[in-house]
Amino acid sequence: MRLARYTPGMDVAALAAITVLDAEGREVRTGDLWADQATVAVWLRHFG
Amino acid sequence: MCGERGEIESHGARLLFIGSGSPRQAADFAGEHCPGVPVYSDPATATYRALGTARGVATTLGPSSLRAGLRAMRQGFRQGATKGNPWVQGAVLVVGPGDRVGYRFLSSHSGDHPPTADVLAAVREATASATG
Repeated sequence: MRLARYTPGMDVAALAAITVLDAEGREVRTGDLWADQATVAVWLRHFG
Repeated sequence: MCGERGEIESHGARLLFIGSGSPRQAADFAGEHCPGVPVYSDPATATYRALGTARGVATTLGPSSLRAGLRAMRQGFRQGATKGNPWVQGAVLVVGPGDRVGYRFLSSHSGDHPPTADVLAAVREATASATG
Protein backbone atom coordinates (compact mmCIF):
# COMPACT_ATOMS: atom_id res chain seq x y z
CA MET A 1 0.00 0.00 0.00
CA ARG A 2 1.54 3.29 -1.00
CA LEU A 3 0.11 6.70 -0.22
CA ALA A 4 2.03 9.70 -1.53
CA ARG A 5 0.14 11.98 0.78
CA TYR A 6 -1.90 11.58 3.89
CA THR A 7 -5.22 10.01 3.20
CA PRO A 8 -8.03 10.79 5.60
CA GLY A 9 -9.09 7.67 7.37
CA MET A 10 -6.12 7.06 9.59
CA ASP A 11 -7.00 8.06 13.13
CA VAL A 12 -3.98 10.19 14.04
CA ALA A 13 -5.35 10.97 17.49
CA ALA A 14 -5.67 7.25 18.25
CA LEU A 15 -2.11 6.66 17.12
CA ALA A 16 -0.88 9.61 19.19
CA ALA A 17 -2.53 8.21 22.33
CA ILE A 18 -0.64 4.90 22.20
CA THR A 19 2.42 4.56 24.42
CA VAL A 20 5.74 3.12 23.33
CA LEU A 21 8.90 2.44 25.36
CA ASP A 22 12.07 4.44 25.21
CA ALA A 23 15.51 2.85 25.37
CA GLU A 24 15.32 2.80 29.19
CA GLY A 25 11.92 1.12 29.17
CA ARG A 26 9.94 4.21 30.14
CA GLU A 27 6.50 4.69 28.63
CA VAL A 28 6.20 7.59 26.22
CA ARG A 29 3.00 8.78 24.58
CA THR A 30 3.56 8.55 20.84
CA GLY A 31 1.98 11.92 20.18
CA ASP A 32 4.52 13.54 22.49
CA LEU A 33 7.27 12.45 20.11
CA TRP A 34 6.07 14.86 17.43
CA ALA A 35 4.02 17.36 19.45
CA ASP A 36 6.31 20.33 18.88
CA GLN A 37 8.38 19.44 15.82
CA ALA A 38 7.96 18.01 12.35
CA THR A 39 9.15 14.42 12.59
CA VAL A 40 10.04 11.60 10.26
CA ALA A 41 8.89 8.55 12.20
CA VAL A 42 10.09 5.27 10.76
CA TRP A 43 8.43 2.03 11.85
CA LEU A 44 10.96 -0.72 11.42
CA ARG A 45 10.10 -4.20 10.30
CA HIS A 46 12.51 -5.46 12.93
CA PHE A 47 15.59 -4.41 14.90
CA GLY A 48 17.90 -6.57 12.78
CA MET B 1 16.60 6.70 6.31
CA CYS B 2 19.52 7.31 8.69
CA GLY B 3 21.50 8.56 5.70
CA GLU B 4 19.01 11.40 5.31
CA ARG B 5 19.24 12.45 8.95
CA GLY B 6 21.39 15.50 8.16
CA GLU B 7 19.01 16.83 5.56
CA ILE B 8 15.97 16.13 7.74
CA GLU B 9 17.53 18.02 10.63
CA SER B 10 18.69 20.86 8.38
CA HIS B 11 15.01 21.59 7.77
CA GLY B 12 14.29 21.70 11.48
CA ALA B 13 12.68 18.27 11.62
CA ARG B 14 13.78 15.21 13.54
CA LEU B 15 14.16 11.54 12.77
CA LEU B 16 13.15 8.69 15.04
CA PHE B 17 12.58 4.96 14.80
CA ILE B 18 10.00 2.66 16.33
CA GLY B 19 10.38 -1.12 16.28
CA SER B 20 8.54 -4.13 17.61
CA GLY B 21 11.34 -5.57 19.75
CA SER B 22 12.42 -4.84 23.32
CA PRO B 23 13.91 -1.57 24.65
CA ARG B 24 17.28 -3.32 24.85
CA GLN B 25 17.05 -4.30 21.19
CA ALA B 26 16.05 -0.73 20.37
CA ALA B 27 19.14 0.60 22.15
CA ASP B 28 21.35 -1.91 20.34
CA PHE B 29 19.80 -0.94 17.00
CA ALA B 30 20.47 2.74 17.64
CA GLY B 31 24.08 2.10 18.56
CA GLU B 32 24.74 -0.11 15.57
CA HIS B 33 22.76 1.61 12.83
CA CYS B 34 21.99 5.22 13.67
CA PRO B 35 23.79 6.58 16.74
CA GLY B 36 22.18 9.60 18.33
CA VAL B 37 18.75 9.01 16.85
CA PRO B 38 16.02 8.03 19.33
CA VAL B 39 14.65 4.52 18.94
CA TYR B 40 11.46 3.39 20.66
CA SER B 41 9.95 -0.04 21.01
CA ASP B 42 6.38 -1.19 20.65
CA PRO B 43 6.42 -4.90 21.54
CA ALA B 44 2.61 -5.12 21.32
CA THR B 45 2.70 -3.57 17.79
CA ALA B 46 -0.25 -1.35 18.75
CA THR B 47 1.13 1.59 16.77
CA TYR B 48 1.56 -0.65 13.74
CA ARG B 49 -2.11 -1.59 13.92
CA ALA B 50 -3.15 2.05 14.30
CA LEU B 51 -1.14 2.91 11.21
CA GLY B 52 -2.65 0.04 9.24
CA THR B 53 0.64 -1.62 8.35
CA ALA B 54 0.63 -4.84 6.39
CA ARG B 55 1.23 -8.01 8.34
CA GLY B 56 1.32 -11.74 7.78
CA VAL B 57 3.70 -14.42 6.61
CA ALA B 58 3.13 -13.69 2.91
CA THR B 59 4.22 -10.06 3.33
CA THR B 60 7.55 -11.23 4.74
CA LEU B 61 8.26 -14.34 2.68
CA GLY B 62 6.42 -13.65 -0.59
CA PRO B 63 8.08 -13.25 -4.02
CA SER B 64 8.29 -9.46 -3.75
CA SER B 65 10.10 -9.77 -0.43
CA LEU B 66 12.54 -12.31 -1.83
CA ARG B 67 13.28 -10.11 -4.84
CA ALA B 68 13.87 -7.14 -2.55
CA GLY B 69 16.13 -9.27 -0.36
CA LEU B 70 18.23 -10.35 -3.33
CA ARG B 71 18.45 -6.76 -4.53
CA ALA B 72 19.62 -5.63 -1.09
CA MET B 73 22.22 -8.40 -0.93
CA ARG B 74 23.60 -7.37 -4.31
CA GLN B 75 23.97 -3.86 -2.90
CA GLY B 76 25.98 -5.22 0.01
CA PHE B 77 23.36 -5.22 2.73
CA ARG B 78 23.22 -8.19 5.08
CA GLN B 79 20.30 -8.72 7.43
CA GLY B 80 21.12 -9.79 10.96
CA ALA B 81 18.96 -11.90 13.24
CA THR B 82 15.35 -10.78 13.35
CA LYS B 83 14.63 -8.91 16.60
CA GLY B 84 10.94 -8.24 17.05
CA ASN B 85 7.79 -9.46 15.37
CA PRO B 86 8.93 -10.83 11.98
CA TRP B 87 5.47 -10.67 10.42
CA VAL B 88 4.75 -6.95 10.64
CA GLN B 89 5.83 -4.55 7.92
CA GLY B 90 7.22 -1.07 8.36
CA ALA B 91 5.95 2.40 7.65
CA VAL B 92 7.11 5.99 7.41
CA LEU B 93 5.12 8.93 8.67
CA VAL B 94 6.00 12.60 8.33
CA VAL B 95 4.01 14.05 11.18
CA GLY B 96 3.89 17.09 13.43
CA PRO B 97 3.97 19.51 14.93
CA GLY B 98 0.82 18.29 16.59
CA ASP B 99 -1.33 15.78 14.75
CA ARG B 100 -0.65 17.16 11.30
CA VAL B 101 0.31 14.30 8.94
CA GLY B 102 2.04 15.21 5.69
CA TYR B 103 3.04 11.83 4.39
CA ARG B 104 2.36 8.18 5.07
CA PHE B 105 3.97 5.19 3.47
CA LEU B 106 3.03 1.64 4.38
CA SER B 107 5.40 -1.08 3.21
CA SER B 108 3.52 -3.79 1.40
CA HIS B 109 6.31 -6.34 1.83
CA SER B 110 9.83 -6.69 3.21
CA GLY B 111 12.24 -4.37 1.42
CA ASP B 112 9.47 -2.03 0.23
CA HIS B 113 10.73 1.44 1.10
CA PRO B 114 9.36 4.91 0.32
CA PRO B 115 11.08 7.07 -2.27
CA THR B 116 13.50 9.21 -0.29
CA ALA B 117 12.66 12.25 -2.40
CA ASP B 118 9.00 11.99 -1.41
CA VAL B 119 9.85 11.85 2.29
CA LEU B 120 12.18 14.83 2.06
CA ALA B 121 9.63 16.80 0.08
CA ALA B 122 7.09 16.17 2.82
CA VAL B 123 9.61 17.28 5.43
CA ARG B 124 10.21 20.54 3.58
CA GLU B 125 6.47 21.07 3.29
CA ALA B 126 5.87 20.30 6.98
CA THR B 127 8.61 22.56 8.26
CA ALA B 128 7.67 25.38 5.87
CA SER B 129 4.05 25.31 6.99
CA ALA B 130 5.08 25.04 10.65
CA THR B 131 7.22 28.17 10.44
CA GLY B 132 5.15 30.05 7.88
